[in-house]
Amino acid sequence: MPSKHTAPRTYFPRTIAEALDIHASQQGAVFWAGGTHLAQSSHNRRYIDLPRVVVSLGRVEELARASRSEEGLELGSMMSLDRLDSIGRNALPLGLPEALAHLGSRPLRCRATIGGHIAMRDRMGDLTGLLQLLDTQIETRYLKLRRGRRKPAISSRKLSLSQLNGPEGLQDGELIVRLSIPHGDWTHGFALKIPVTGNGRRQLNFYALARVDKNVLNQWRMALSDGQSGILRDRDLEVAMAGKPLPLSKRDMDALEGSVEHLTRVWENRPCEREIAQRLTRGILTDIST
Amino acid sequence: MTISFYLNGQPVEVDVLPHRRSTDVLHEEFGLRSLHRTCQNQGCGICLILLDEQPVLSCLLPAFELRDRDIWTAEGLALLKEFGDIVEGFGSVGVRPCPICGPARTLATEALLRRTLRPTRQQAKDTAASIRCDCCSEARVISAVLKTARIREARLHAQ
Ligand SMILES: Cc1cc2nc3c(=O)[nH]c(=O)nc-3n(C[C@@H](O)[C@@H](O)[C@H](O)COP(=O)(O)OP(=O)(O)OC[C@H]3O[C@@H](n4cnc5c(N)ncnc54)[C@H](O)[C@@H]3O)c2cc1C
Ligand code: FES
Repeated sequence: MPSKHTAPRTYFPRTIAEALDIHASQQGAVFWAGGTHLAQSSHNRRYIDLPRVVVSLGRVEELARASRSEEGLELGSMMSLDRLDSIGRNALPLGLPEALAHLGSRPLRCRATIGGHIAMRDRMGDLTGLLQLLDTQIETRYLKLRRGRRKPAISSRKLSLSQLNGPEGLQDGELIVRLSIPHGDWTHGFALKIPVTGNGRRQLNFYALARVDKNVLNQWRMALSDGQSGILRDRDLEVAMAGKPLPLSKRDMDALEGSVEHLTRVWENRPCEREIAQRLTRGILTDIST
Repeated sequence: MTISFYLNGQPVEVDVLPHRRSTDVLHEEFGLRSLHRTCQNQGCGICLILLDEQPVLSCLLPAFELRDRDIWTAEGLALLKEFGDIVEGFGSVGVRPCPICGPARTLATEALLRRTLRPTRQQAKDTAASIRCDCCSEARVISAVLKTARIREARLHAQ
């Protein structure tokens, strides 16, 4: 961040190509979507401490487009969380309406974008765990110098949200353009945000998806997050749970609880979070068994 | 940086640093006294304005984001007949927000009614909860928002 008194240079590209070019040609440039996360960390009363160069994405029409199909949703990265919410409960994948409702207030959601949400580097957005469970795919664009060419050309990359959150994550200058969220054939979806401390500084995000047919748990996915230490998920157990009759046998329930115990070991000094995670898992399994 | 935008229905222009908080720009450069800042980026909602019909937190909005936008504050809304519905709705259930949160509550209610004339209880609750101020109870603000919606709908039908 520059000194608080340095006014940033601001750019308002109208196309993806322009946005990438400006970002590449200006050292220290940062993409600005809704700006809520970037602005939140500024503690200067009078000014919002901004990077030296701001590339505002608000006028890039292509990034604001969205469409719906039988398979799922295609969302431009500049879609605001409020616009996503207004698509309506029946058209959104299970769990997403609840997750959106827990995310800040409407004035925040009107500015905050889905692209900015998943691109935050120092914080794990509340929707991330659920979007990972839903197999969300990301499409990005970046500039790449090709052999024999003097000017870099636009390249694209498709990756899963889990990859984006991992070491293959977003590179400097790489722009998220689209998210594809498949509907899947889930019959149950849960998205819970539990405040662990009264001041709201600690919270637990709990997400689960299930497909139950004739009292058989055909698919099960679960993710936990405290917003800081990444997404906790046990894929082996998810595979092992497929095809289990409901209600789960004591052995299967013990396996599930053991998995939660194991996963949450990273929260070793957070017994409240661990206890809540166990209770929620048990509660949700009871819920889908009835 | 010279920024042109629409403010309460009028085209305006202002020369400001691009990273000034919009709350201050509107308050200091345009004398809009309804705008306040009471928290430090914590989302209290008191600084709410309408940007292209959407409620947004102006303290998190740098001045450059005002460019070419349609901005409304409580001063502008007070000149429209929609404001009468809100005054009547809130008054009829006895809710009198304080001068600090009143402008933001008015704008938040208006933003909701521009989205839907028949808000659900949950939407009214979200609207009430989007402004954090202890001057009136959330339950009563929810009633006031729902009452305003009924008044608005009746007025539009009668036209
Ligand atoms: C009062 C308040 C309450 C909040 N509450 C919550 C909450 O309850 N839960 C929660 O999860 N979050 C919360 N947040 C964080 C909130 O800012 C994010 O969740 C929001 O979605 C970020 O989106 P944005 O568009 O504003 O991102 P920005 O601030 O614009 O950008 C965030 C980061 O992403 C990068 N970026 C943006 N778009 C792209 C793109 N298309 N391609 C590549 N990089 C990009 C930016 O350079 C920046 O590094 C809160 C924030 C505030 C201010
Ligand atoms: S003053 Fe803007 S959110 Fe509190």
